[in-house]
Amino acid sequence: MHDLEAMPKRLEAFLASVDGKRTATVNRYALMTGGYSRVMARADVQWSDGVAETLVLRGDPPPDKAMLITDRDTEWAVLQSLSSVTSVPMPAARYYDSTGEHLTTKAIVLDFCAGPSMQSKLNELFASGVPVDDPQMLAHRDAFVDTLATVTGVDVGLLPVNLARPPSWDAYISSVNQSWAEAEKAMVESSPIMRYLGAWLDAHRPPPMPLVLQHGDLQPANILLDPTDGSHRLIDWEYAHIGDPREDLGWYVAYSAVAPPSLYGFDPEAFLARYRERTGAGELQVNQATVGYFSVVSAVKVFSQIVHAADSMGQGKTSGIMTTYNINAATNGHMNFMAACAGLAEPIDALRAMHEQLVTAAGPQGGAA
Amino acid sequence: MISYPTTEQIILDCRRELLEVIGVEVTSDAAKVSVQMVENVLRNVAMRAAHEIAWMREETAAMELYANDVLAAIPGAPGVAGALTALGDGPGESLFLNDVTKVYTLAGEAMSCAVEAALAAGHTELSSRAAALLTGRNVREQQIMGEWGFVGRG
Repeated sequence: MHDLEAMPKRLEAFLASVDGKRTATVNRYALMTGGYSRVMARADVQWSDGVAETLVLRGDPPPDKAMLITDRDTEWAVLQSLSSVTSVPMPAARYYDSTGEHLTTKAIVLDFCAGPSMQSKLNELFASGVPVDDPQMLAHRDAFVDTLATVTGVDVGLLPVNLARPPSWDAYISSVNQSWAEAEKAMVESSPIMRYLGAWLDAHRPPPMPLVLQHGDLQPANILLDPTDGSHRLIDWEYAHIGDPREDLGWYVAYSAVAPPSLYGFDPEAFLARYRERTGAGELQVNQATVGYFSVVSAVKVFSQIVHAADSMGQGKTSGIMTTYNINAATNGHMNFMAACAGLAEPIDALRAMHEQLVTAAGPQGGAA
Repeated sequence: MISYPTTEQIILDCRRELLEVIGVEVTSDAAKVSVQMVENVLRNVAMRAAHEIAWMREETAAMELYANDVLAAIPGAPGVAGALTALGDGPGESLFLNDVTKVYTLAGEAMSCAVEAALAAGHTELSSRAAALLTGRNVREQQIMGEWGFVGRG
């Protein structure tokens, strides 16, 4: 996908083969910046029936340059499933080169959304001195919460069969917490912080919740704003999975700490009240303490890949400035995770105890509170 | 060897060259992002070059002490004794960076096993001590990181 001379012809051949009726001319092909994990390109396409449109290609970087490894087959399957769910706003997923035969790497072709990312818009407001409690910012916050809620509301039965269905909340959280130690043991370098986090999270479990669809990287850089009405288009579904609904909340809290402005930080209670209202979640389950807990839990996938990439470079297997640059993201993660754990043991244990009391009071027929 | 300018000074001068001579000539968006990232990494490695051997040696001693204390408080703590033996067999006296790094990782494994045992046992004092040690480790990571934010995201 990096070969700017060869790609237009390759893309033309691919589009003609998947369309079956029309031929296509690629008038412009350019790499896009803004993403850290996949190679992205934009193509202006003229079809033989006169239709002109812009498409986005989303493929894997070369193996020796990849910092984050995810599965395009699963992402494509998720995108196809979500295409039938009109409540989830996203650019249409159009085509897939599942082998890389045409586009040199497995690549998904999507509709282009002309609007800026929500992060760009927030950066612009923030840089121009608009305070976080300004009505413009509050409108963005509410819209962001609504998008979070929309994802959790997707019927899990509609999702592709290759998306893992954990047997229970406890089994799921055990497996996620264990993955801190598993990821650490797969590296040459030891990381006592990762081992501490996995053990700490397992020793302090919050009240459970029903498992739902999670985007896995839901933050404003992955939301495009429709240029006509500012409505959201959610992109980059590579980390989508069925998990705890507080993971996307926690991930946003962790992410926004390093990519301000935070739509959560200045008034967490208002943020969470709207989330609870939109999802029907209870205050015992969704509150600042549990979101803090999941700010650590939700980070394990991306965090592990960042440190694995560094470890792999240490063994001489990979290279790339993205890997060395993102060692700082690992440092930032360590800082935020340790701080979260330091303040959460007492409130999380108290919430769990309240949950257990409610379950006991409800008796064997009562189910989870 | 010629020791002045120090490695830290040389790296920081390369960073200056990157910003003042090369960076201003760069026009492509992707290359601009790369320049910003390289600038950041050069600051990181300058700090590392100046401190890493001393810092890893200090932390190794603290992690070894902690693992021994956990083993004394929780006899049979899984993995701790074996990890301490491996640490003892490592090239602990060498100041070559590769050896210091190797020993640091062996000490990290001993501490990791000890931390897991302390948390699983609900040992409050040892759990708190682990948190304090690891927070101290991260304070040094932050010194290496310096000012940092995502570049090229938006």
